[in-house]
Amino acid sequence: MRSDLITGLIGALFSGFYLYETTTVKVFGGSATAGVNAQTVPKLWGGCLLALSVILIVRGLLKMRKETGKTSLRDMVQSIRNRREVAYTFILLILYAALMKPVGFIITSIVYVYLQIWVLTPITKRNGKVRKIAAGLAVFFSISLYFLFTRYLMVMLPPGILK
Amino acid sequence: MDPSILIQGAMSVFSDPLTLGFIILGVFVGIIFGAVPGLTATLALIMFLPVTYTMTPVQGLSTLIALYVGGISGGLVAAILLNIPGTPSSIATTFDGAPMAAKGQAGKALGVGVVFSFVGTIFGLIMLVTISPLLASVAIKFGAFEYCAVAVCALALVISLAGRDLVKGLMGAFFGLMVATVGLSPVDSMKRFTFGMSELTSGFALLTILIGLFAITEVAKAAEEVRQKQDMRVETNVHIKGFGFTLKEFFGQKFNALRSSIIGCIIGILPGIGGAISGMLSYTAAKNQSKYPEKFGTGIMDGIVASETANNAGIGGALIPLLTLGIPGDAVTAILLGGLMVHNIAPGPLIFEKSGVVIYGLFVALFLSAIAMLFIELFGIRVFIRVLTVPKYFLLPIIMVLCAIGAFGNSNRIFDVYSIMGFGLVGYGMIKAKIPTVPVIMGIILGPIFEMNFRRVAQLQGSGETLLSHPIAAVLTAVAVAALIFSFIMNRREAKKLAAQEAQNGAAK
Repeated sequence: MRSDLITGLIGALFSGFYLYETTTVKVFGGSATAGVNAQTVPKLWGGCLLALSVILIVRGLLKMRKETGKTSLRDMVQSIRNRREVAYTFILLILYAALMKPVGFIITSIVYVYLQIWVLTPITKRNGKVRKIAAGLAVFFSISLYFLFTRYLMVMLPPGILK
Repeated sequence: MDPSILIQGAMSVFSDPLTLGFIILGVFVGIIFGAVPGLTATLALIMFLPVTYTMTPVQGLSTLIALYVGGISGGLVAAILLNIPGTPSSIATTFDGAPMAAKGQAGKALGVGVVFSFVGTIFGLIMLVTISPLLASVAIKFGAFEYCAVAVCALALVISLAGRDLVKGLMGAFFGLMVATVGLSPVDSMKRFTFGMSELTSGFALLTILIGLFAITEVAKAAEEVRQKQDMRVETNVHIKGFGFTLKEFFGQKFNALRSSIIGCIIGILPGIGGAISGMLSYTAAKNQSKYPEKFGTGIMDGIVASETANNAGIGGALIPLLTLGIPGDAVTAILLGGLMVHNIAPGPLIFEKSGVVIYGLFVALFLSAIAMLFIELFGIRVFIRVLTVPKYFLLPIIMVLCAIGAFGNSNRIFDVYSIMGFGLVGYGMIKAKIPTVPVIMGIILGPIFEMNFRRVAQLQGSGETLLSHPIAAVLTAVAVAALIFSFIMNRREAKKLAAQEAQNGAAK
């Protein structure tokens, strides 16, 4: 099972990095610690995850040997292309977070909501009506949520360039 | 139970019209989130947690409880009308709810589901009010050994019951434990994994992790379905006369309801299992003990009663370990834990001493939420049916904005907004890798409890104390080991069954 192999490899890399970083943690040396310090428990968790990752890699390799059908590269690429909206979603979310403070909550939220609705709309339903509804919802909710949270609920949101 | 504190707690709810208003609003919104497939009670609580920041503790926690009750119960609407469970807790409701609706008895199915959801919630509340002070009085004697053992036992139960794959369940749990080590170490306050960033000195906020793992992943899952065919037909012609069924039919379900309530409450107390399992276990028990098991699945009220009573009884059950030990049972109670912390309520054995008025107020709010749920669902069913027709692609982006507000408003840092995106990416990766998310959350919450007490236990080694001199800790450790061994054996059996099936299919070809 290729996904087990990939998961195992990522787990092994992550736990390897984590165990390396654990060695840089300062420890307080004293007789009262009984040998247990700030590195002990992280080493335990990192070691366990590494062992589990190795088990998963071995399991993945054994299952791949038994598998008769192989997924072609073209099928894999097509499968990723069919999910490109997931990539668009994460790109939108990251840009939303990055631009919220400098540009401001209202503008970034309007743009984000409008584009995200468009990305999530099924292909067969994308039309002018959805665009208009998306624009209306984006403007209405972004502005009303800003005023609701900053004026009445006392949650500070970045005003950005509208300051 | 001190009667004067109980009265003060009750008055703190009844005397504040805002609290009563928030309860009604919370139940209404919770039902909507429960009813719409893809929106969950978890998402409702995540979304509304920032709204409660400036409320009083009683107002804030009452709102969250109301959302919880509404969210768990709302799942029956989609389960009956769409044959799609609105929440995982309502999976078993589809088994008889949808066939009943197909027979033209949608109104009766909804009425049965709503009334017995109420019955289950009240049973859970009674258990919560009676058991939690008793458990708190036992837990007050817990020391380092006991807390260590509780953390290990809770984690082991979650891992063994969270999914079919023990290895992946364990990986999820250890990942959560590792995330929890970011920040200052307990006891000696050494910086760990902060990479020079001051924002990481206090570690990742629980709320940001929850938003990332549960809310961001929903929008990613919706994005995956954009190019898939989506057909959802909503039954809109629904009439409920009164409660939809007779008094004779109601009393005919008394043993079913009682058994289901007990199952739901026990499952609710055990961490990591969740409403989906309690509903299905209860449905199976009802079927096995019924005089007419062949009728289950054809559209009889017994199936709906079993599922809905159990999943709502689990609400009270799940609050017991949350309030008395600070151990949440699932994602929803993990958010409630966040809510308690936001309002400076420290869950644990001393919760009744330190925050008795708030906690008893919470119990009263749970009772009022159950009543509100009963009437709002019965009389507002047409509103919820209309909401079911609103496309998810309009709702989810607005929910994401509210989640970003929740993350930013937590500590006024953009770093937290980045964190939710990061955990969202990790959560999506975990879904693709089929790693369950609940063990991750439990690892994040239980990790610091375990490490703090483990280090104390290590310091006590010189005093001659061992695990055997702490019988409660010894029993809990034994339960943890047994749960993991049991899970390993079940996993192996399933793997052998699967291999035998594959061999059979191969031979048949």
